[in-house]
Amino acid sequence: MRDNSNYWTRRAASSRVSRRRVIGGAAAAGMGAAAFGLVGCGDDDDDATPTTAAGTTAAGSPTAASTAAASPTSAIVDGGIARSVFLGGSQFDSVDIHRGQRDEVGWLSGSVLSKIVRFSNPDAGDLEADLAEKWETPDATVYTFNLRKGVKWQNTPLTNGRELTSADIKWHVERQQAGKLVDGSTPKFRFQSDYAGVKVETPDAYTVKMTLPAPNGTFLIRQAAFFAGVPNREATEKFEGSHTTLTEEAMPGTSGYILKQWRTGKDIVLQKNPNYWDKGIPHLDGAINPWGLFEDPNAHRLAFEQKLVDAWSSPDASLTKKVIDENKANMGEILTGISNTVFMHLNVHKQFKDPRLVKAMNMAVDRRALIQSFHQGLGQVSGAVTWLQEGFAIKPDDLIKLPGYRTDRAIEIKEARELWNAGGGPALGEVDIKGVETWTSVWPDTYQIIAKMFNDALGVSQFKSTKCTYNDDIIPNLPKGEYPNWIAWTNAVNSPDPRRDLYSSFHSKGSQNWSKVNNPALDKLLDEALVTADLTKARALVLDAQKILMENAMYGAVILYNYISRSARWNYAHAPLKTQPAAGKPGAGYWNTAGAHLAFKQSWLDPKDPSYSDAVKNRKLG
Amino acid sequence: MAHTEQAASTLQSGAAELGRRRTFGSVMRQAGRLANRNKLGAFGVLLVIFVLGVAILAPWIKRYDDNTQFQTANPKFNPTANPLDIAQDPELGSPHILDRWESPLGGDHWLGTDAYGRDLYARIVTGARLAVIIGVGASVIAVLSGTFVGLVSGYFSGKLDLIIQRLVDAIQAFPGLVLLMLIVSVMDQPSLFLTVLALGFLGFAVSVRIVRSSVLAVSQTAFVEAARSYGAGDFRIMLRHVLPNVLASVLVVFSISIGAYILAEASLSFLGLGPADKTTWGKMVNAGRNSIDLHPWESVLSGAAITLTVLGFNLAGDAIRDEVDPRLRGR
Repeated sequence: MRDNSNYWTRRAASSRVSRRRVIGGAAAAGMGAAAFGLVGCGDDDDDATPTTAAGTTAAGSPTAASTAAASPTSAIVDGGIARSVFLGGSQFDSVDIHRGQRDEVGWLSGSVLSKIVRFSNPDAGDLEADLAEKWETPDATVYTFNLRKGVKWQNTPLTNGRELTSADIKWHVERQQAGKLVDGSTPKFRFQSDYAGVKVETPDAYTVKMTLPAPNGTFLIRQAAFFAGVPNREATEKFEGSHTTLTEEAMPGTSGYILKQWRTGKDIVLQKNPNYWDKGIPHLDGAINPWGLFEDPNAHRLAFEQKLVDAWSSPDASLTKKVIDENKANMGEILTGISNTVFMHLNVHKQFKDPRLVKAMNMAVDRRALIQSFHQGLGQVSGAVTWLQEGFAIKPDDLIKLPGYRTDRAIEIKEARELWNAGGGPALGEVDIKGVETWTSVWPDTYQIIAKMFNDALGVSQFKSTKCTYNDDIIPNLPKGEYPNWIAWTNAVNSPDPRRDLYSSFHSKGSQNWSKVNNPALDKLLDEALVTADLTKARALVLDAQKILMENAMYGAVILYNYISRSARWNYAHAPLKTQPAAGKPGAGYWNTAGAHLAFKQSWLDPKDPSYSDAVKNRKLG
Repeated sequence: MAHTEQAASTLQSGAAELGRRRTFGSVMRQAGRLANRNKLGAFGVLLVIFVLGVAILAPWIKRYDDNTQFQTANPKFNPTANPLDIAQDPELGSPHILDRWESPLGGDHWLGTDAYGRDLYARIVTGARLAVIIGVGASVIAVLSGTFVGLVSGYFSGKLDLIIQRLVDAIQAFPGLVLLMLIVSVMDQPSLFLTVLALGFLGFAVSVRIVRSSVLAVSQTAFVEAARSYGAGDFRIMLRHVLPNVLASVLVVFSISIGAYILAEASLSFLGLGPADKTTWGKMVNAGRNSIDLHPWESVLSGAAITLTVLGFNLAGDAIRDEVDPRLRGR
């Protein structure tokens, strides 16, 4: 039997644990990613809590998570309720995890739905058991998962608290594969292409055998990644017709928390699952995400200062720094590489049909100036693969030689103007590069800054910027090719390995290939990269694929940069971190958003900490 | 018929003090007397003249484009710096550093710069132009539409008046700001024009009420009766005899409401519902408040601009009302 997590263990061992990797820290503060956004100088404290079942991790080798964690400062205390907010408000677009596009759906489901396997260190890609107690791969195309016995669905009238079995996993895979609802309709399923050709067999109630049509180097990690939770069949099918209406009934889970309240405009309330298979955790009684509080930075700050939320990050990073410096005894500083890549999406089916125009825009956009404007310099430019995925990204020395990334703006502008004019840009008339409302509520000056940046760079006056929303203007129109041109965050980077996402976005068969890219050379590289288990080869193939993408300005899906969030966190609130804040040094969180379960063990509230107060103690789940 | 018109005109001449020819010197002397009699009003008028002057001359006096981001070359720039180093020293990541939050009177920027390195003086001057366009524009829309409907409603009275007044009741029953937010939200993309239109709609109801009550009073006067008894048509009576006699009220409504519209737009912009692609004072107050304890200037200066402008229009409006209302004149 071969333990497949060895692949990632080898990968982690062969990769130096770079400073960049460390800083690629958890977006938790605003992200609500791990631990519902509770950022904390968490005490890993594996000794004090029950561990996952034996034989599930990388042959017993220590994971990066356990080695990176700081030494315990005090014994973990059970109880209490964490409070934090989601980055970008609460724009959930679906209660169906198979169909959801908005990251909030993925973040929330990570606390409620178990996965087949999960990350023990999401940034390094180390895997551990979740629903599958163990798994084996007789050859590169067959995966056999032995499910944990006694995993119960949350007890609701729909589930009756029944046991999760292999039939649930089979349905989970085959539903995404077919992309079909009970009524026969075929809406867009987020990861449909990932399961193409996969045959699922269930020899017994606790064994699932998946046979892939070809070797796939990322198949297992996909099961641990963002949006990989296994939903309940009865609930999902009942709410298929009303999947955009939020209700806690639609997502009964098997994981550490259960949804007590999930309604538009109301606090999102998570309650500890008393029947969770991993006894003794979560340590918290629950967690609350106030609805949309982040949209007003001042309300967010006030809520933080009054300890209505445990962590806070200002759009003005210097303000966060000031608040931390004034409260050094009670607060910690966390630096987090934000995994939601800042991105410009140009509609190549409409105004930007001519590739020269897309290339011109790629050079006209001043990435470093945007980092200066919106993040006070806290960020770094990203290519087609972000710097958060260091192992696969184009090296910085090479990146700064490419159009759009060169440090000489005069050259960028000159070439951008030539392409703009040659591609008939001036004849386009008014060009609206929209700002997405969740972004512009934080940075309302985006409209003016973006329009001026393009007008100045291209020497025209045809650009303007108005608002749009993900739920109304972008998500429903992506499959139809009728989306607007927009700038804001795109989906969170959800894995240290970018291959699946590259395939999904740029392969001609990719399920999120909104630009309808059809480049046989690129397809070939992505096909080969996807199937190989040889990491060195995979990296080389991905680099070659990136060259094509960069030459074509990413076919309109133009990645700009990833920024670093500086957040403040009260010392009483402990949460998953890769490195803890120490005297004069900030802590670093996980950037990968697929690690919400880490909070089960590592999130807790310390009533003995001087920063703990009645405001924290008296929180109720409502 | 011609005699009737002359008679009516003679009657109304005592009520309407309009159209007298005066020399510049006599006007200035009278202005001086008025200023002496109503010092606050004079101060208001001066403020209005100042704001109007700034608004009109904005393109020539604002020194810089209101959206230009000033920056300084950064010798520490390291294009290949890794993010951890950048996190410790954000200056490593960019070839230029924005001149953010410069203090007033500290250098090239008279009123300092904002969070994006933009000149606050240029933005406040640009905001003045927007404020005046919005205030005057909304007031013109409200007064023109309100005068027409109020004239018709008051003059014809009866069922038409009843219907119009109930509609006005319905509009006024809504809290102003809430109604405004509703209108602007429905618009989806509130441009400058749509914002002006929404504000004008809100002011329409007030204008209708005031004009109607004046029309009701004027309609009962002898010269209107005289015109009617000699066969003048309704349209002619409204235009030639009633309207000139309610213009004083219209003028007061117009002048007083400008400040209110500027304030309402500032509220909308503060809430993020104003014209998103324009520099407005309300938006500046909102932007500055995020860092008000570190950098108070943006909020304070734009807030002061709103306060002084609104104060100016209100004081000037009060003064006009005092002058045109015989009961208040000389108090």
